[in-house]
Amino acid sequence: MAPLAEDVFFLSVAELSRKLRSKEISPVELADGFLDRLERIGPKLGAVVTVTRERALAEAKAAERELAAGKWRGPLHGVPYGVKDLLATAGIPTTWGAEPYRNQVFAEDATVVARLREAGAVLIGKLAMVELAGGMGYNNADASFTGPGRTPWNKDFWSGGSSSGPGAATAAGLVAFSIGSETSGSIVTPAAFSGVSGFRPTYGRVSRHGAMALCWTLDKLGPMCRTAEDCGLVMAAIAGKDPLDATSLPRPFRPAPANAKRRRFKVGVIKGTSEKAQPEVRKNLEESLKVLGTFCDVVPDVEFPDFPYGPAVGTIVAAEGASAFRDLIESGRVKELRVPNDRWGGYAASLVLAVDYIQALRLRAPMKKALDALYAKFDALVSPTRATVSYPIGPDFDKVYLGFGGGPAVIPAGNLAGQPALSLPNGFGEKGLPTAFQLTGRAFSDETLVALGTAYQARTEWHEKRPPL
Amino acid sequence: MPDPTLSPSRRAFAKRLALAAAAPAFAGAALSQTAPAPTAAPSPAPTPVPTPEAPSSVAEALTEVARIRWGRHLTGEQLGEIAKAVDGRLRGAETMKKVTLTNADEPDVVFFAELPGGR
Repeated sequence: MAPLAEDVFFLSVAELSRKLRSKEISPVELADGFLDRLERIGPKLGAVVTVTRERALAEAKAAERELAAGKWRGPLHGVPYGVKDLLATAGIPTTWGAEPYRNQVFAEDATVVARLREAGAVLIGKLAMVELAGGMGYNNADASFTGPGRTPWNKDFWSGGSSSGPGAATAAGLVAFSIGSETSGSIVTPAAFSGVSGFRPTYGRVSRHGAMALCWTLDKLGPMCRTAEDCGLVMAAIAGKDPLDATSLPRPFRPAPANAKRRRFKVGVIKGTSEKAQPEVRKNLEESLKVLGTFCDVVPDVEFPDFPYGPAVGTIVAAEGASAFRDLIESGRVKELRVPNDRWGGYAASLVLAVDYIQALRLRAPMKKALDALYAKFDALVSPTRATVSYPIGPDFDKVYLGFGGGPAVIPAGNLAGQPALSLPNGFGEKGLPTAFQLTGRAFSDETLVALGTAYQARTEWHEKRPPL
Repeated sequence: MPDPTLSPSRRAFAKRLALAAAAPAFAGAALSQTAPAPTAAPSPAPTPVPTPEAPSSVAEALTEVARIRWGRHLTGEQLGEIAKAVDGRLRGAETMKKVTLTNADEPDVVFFAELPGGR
């Protein structure tokens, strides 16, 4: 069997699905090709923890048999993917990116993994992540026992966190799509720094059963893909009520048909989000707005509600994270963590006062109300995903890009309110690193954001760029 | 704001915490009042934060709790870092208190009597 052309590994899920269904390529040869890339390139990017070759080939052979028999499970059938290593997988180590959990093995698959298996997708690897999803307060890219995640665009720079492996692996064509998680920024940031499309769903749309808990009231799981359309295809497979997660909701994801006619979208540009961004980030956002203007009504200078989003999210993550990992912290085993900050951060977090934690939870109601009142006027609000390109590997984060940032805290705000967000690549900045913008919407506007992102990507080619591997 | 001239330098503060870590309980109670300085809480997607000059007396007191409870796992330098982080969170808590809430404003978390799975 001749090896597949490299182009195949950069096709979207939608395109791969067409080739699989038409038998132009087989699930087994596709899985084999992706497995080879994941094994060969994955470690160089610090993107992989465990390659699940045996399981992958078994699932790929099953998909091959079913497709040959005319049974098609849907657009993910036979498509290889990876998951952030905080999702339980039966009989395969689930390390949470942290040395103390290197040998942890669960007996069952997380609900998301089970749903993807039912959809016929092929699990080829457990992908690297920042230890404990960053809950102990890391301040450096070298924050996993597998080493720093490297963006394939420039390996001296970080792939973002805490879904570092999903970002790097998806961007480098080592998986066709991946599943990441976000408590406050951990999908959209690596999507931006790695140059892929990353979708944070509305809280409750995707079951978290079987996922490492960092912060019960903020954790979300979502897809990281080449395209917005692919994010919708993955969401359609994983969203919906799960009796094993009380916060999950009976709201399946139904992507808009590709040929659906609709009114013009209305998007607002959040005031002050790009003023202190790097010049390339600002310029690329302006270009993106021009493109959006061809099919959207664009409203500039939208005032964002002023609340202490940062302190609230920090307090909640600290309190819930310290509780979730209390045994690890109090046993002293946090000293085995990679980043020096993570070895003491849990003790500081353990000192959050109960009244401050409850205060933060109480603030979420007025924040949610104010944000919903604003977002109800728009299909989405637009802002740069990050004010800078990726951080260099080596120095602590607070030593670089001084003077950039500021503006409304869109990421913490959206996470506190449980709102969805979609990060889309929109060009390049310093050192050949990708830039991105994010579309944020009111809760349960997930389908609208995906439709908007798909329309944007129909008019641009940034999502088709390939890193220089 | 407390008088910043009463605040020890970060290095002096860390040194005293190190001494306190090596001493019996409550040795750290002698830590002086200090001036608070801006910082930010760690986040799963961190952003650069300014370094504080010295933690507040409340932060020092809470750090003493950390020393008593978990001091065997911590160095003096780490206790100094904890003091700074606690100070940042306390500052954040003060910011949160500035938002007006009424007695009827409940935490945005709902308790369900039902067991997972509807049992």
